[in-house]
Amino acid sequence: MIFTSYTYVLFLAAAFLIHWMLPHRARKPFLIAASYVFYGSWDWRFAFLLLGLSVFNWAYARYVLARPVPGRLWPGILVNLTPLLIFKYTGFFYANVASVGRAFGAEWSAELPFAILLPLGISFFTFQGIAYLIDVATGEEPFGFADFLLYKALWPQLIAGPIVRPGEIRADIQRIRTLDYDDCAYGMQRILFGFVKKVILADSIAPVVDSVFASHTPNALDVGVAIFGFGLQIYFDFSAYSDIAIGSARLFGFRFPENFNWPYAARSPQDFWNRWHMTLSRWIRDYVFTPLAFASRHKPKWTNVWLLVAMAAVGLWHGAQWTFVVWGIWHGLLLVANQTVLKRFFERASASRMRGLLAMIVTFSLVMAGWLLFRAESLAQVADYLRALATMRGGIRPSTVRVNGILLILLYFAGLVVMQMTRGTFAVLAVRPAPARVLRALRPLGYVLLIVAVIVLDQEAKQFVYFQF
Amino acid sequence: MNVPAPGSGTLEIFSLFRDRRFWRGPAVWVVLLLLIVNGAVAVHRDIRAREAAAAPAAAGGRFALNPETANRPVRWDWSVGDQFETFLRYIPDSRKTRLVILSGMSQMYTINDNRPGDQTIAEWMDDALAPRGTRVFGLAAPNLSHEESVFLLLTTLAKPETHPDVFIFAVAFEKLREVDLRRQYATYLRSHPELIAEWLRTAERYRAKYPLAAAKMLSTLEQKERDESVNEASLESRLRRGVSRVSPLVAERRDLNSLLRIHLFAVRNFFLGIKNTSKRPIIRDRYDTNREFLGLLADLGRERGALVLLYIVPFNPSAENPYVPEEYAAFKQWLTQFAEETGTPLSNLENVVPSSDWGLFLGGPDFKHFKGEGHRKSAAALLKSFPAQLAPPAQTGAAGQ
Repeated sequence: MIFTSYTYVLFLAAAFLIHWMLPHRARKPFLIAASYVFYGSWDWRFAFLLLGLSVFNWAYARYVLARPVPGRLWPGILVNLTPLLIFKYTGFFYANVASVGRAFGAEWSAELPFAILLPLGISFFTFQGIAYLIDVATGEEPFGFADFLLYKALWPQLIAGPIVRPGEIRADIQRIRTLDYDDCAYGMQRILFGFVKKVILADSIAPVVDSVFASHTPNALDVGVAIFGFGLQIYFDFSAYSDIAIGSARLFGFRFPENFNWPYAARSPQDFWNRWHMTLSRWIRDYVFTPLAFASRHKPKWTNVWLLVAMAAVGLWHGAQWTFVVWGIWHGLLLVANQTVLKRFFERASASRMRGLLAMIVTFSLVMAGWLLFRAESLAQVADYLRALATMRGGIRPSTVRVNGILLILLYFAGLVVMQMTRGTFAVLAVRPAPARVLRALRPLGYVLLIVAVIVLDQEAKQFVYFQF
Repeated sequence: MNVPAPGSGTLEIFSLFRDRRFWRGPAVWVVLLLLIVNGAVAVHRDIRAREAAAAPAAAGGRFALNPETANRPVRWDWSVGDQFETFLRYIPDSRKTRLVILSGMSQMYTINDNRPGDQTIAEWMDDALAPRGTRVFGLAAPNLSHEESVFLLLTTLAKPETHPDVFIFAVAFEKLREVDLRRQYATYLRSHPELIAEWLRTAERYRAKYPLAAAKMLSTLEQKERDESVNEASLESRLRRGVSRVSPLVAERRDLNSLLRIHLFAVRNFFLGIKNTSKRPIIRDRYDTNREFLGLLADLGRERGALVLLYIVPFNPSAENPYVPEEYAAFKQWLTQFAEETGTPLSNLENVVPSSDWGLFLGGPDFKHFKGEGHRKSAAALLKSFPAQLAPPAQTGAAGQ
């Protein structure tokens, strides 16, 4: 049940109507049931995995709380990580062992002799479970059983985040939520914006990018367009998912944390990670980087090493491939540079507009370069594409992309730049009486245009990029 | 923690409608405007339907989309791929008759200045060959890619009743810029597991000989696997069909999409000064992939008992064309060599339709689509080019006269 499918719209509408018709006490069980229906719509077998992990985490948190002995948390964390390691990393582990074995003459197949299905959203709900155990062990009040089942399964955040932490949603889970017009209006608006970003923007860029990454000998221009296009595609795609998740949750009275804040307007790599996949950045900071840095607090030089380790973990979390690990390390290096050799450059970004713009362009370029690692299927492909760029293979003539694809990506980029530049102006205008009246009057027309565009431009319900993680 | 009173909150949904903000907010306007948009689309659809209904009088019923109610024999897929599965049922049973499938791009079915009595190439050929026990059926679609021609061949080969004896493919140079399987074909592929298996088998078997084509076939399948609505039996597809029945906007979304794209292209052309004759250089990777698909087509035909015939499509001698001359010449040279090496019969028909038989497009001579007479001449040229494969020269019939 993909968020931009008609099936999801029907599911959401039905859940919304039923939820707000039920008495308060029946709403929580209903949301849990609906969440399992949503998750089971992909593969009902994995619903048992989710349920099992939920029951375990709820019980283990209480156990840890009852017997607060140092080190007691680790078995719980390990149990959470086990399904992730099995389902997501077995193939990766095997492939690496096999390649070492083959290097020593063993005749091992490069691939596992059996297929392992990846349960959707496993990376997200594993992190959520670990966060819960750690938070409870460090003083967070544990959830009741039903509250925890809902926290763990609530469908808008189940598959691809935002990674909601217990403290961020506790109040909404435990209070009596009432139907509020503003919540509904805001939720619907966010859902519509999510549909627009996904259906109109991300899905139209995807074929251009895919065609290049599927081709064997792309020229330099193809590679450049594909990397740039993918940078836009993944932003539109993932932020669209987050918009729909946040909007869907709001319809039921839940306030999820934001996941994106104009990341391509970032003026340093550190600023970028404060704006991109914000809930993951915070999770890694609080549960990986900070404990490591704290443990070696008497050796400040180790901080940069932990930064690299934490970012490599971010990469590996995204996928069981060396390309993701190297992508994480690339961002780790950028963050280290941000704290060391380029510290003054990025710090001066606020000194003047020009410096700010320069810092933004540099950050944007470095982040874009990293997307090649994220999208490539292998490090060999990365090397080939870098070679194409370095040698300007084919000059300015593309080997795969058509002019329309290039124009489309440039058009979207120009639109994004304009929106980034004018968002402050719009915010100011929106609170002034006269422009606010005009905006209010035009809003229905704008919504209808967007709805019509989504219907007309939507050909198929395409999967979100982050579903693979 | 708040403890709700038993039964409290029931039917809270109605509080939304009692909220003044709901009635003063954009929701009501949005609903009203959407109703108006749907009404407008319905009117537009009716006007088009009326025009289509009027068309048969002038064009002999060609545009009555439903083949069940057509007042002429169904001898080509005039839904141009949109109702592919429906039209497959009209292919003459090849267990009872010799069957020729004619496939290619829009030139195969578009008739400029359509007049009563005009027919497509497939119809002219069928007229000529049917008396001799050979039937011809046209399976063409706009900008048909070479991957799609392989799809059409595999699809027809899959059943004994549609298994062609001869598969003619019209090679158009600019179509080597096209790749991918259109949604309608992908839908058919997805709903036929035996065809998926054959598609996979073909990709695997030819991976070494045609790596680009095989990789493309695999990626096509992978992509379509990910798209929920491609599977006709899925809840998503049924839901879309259900919503289409109540919302003209949803029902007409594909046509509106095409319309929108045409206008977007017009805007692009206006701003960038692009004309339909602007030079379109080859896109190397696509070009190479399509050449491999051509090889795959010939190999598949040979292997499975369907003779593949190729011809270079006619083009308007008096119109500027978008080909880069050196590239087009090199392509023709390659194609000739390819045909010789693979033993695939090839005919060059680029000059068989004189300027007078072409129509107009965007205010200038159409370089790709001709009038009814062009179809007749193309059919005659095909019959003349491949007499041994299609029929002896004496049996070329009406089109050849």
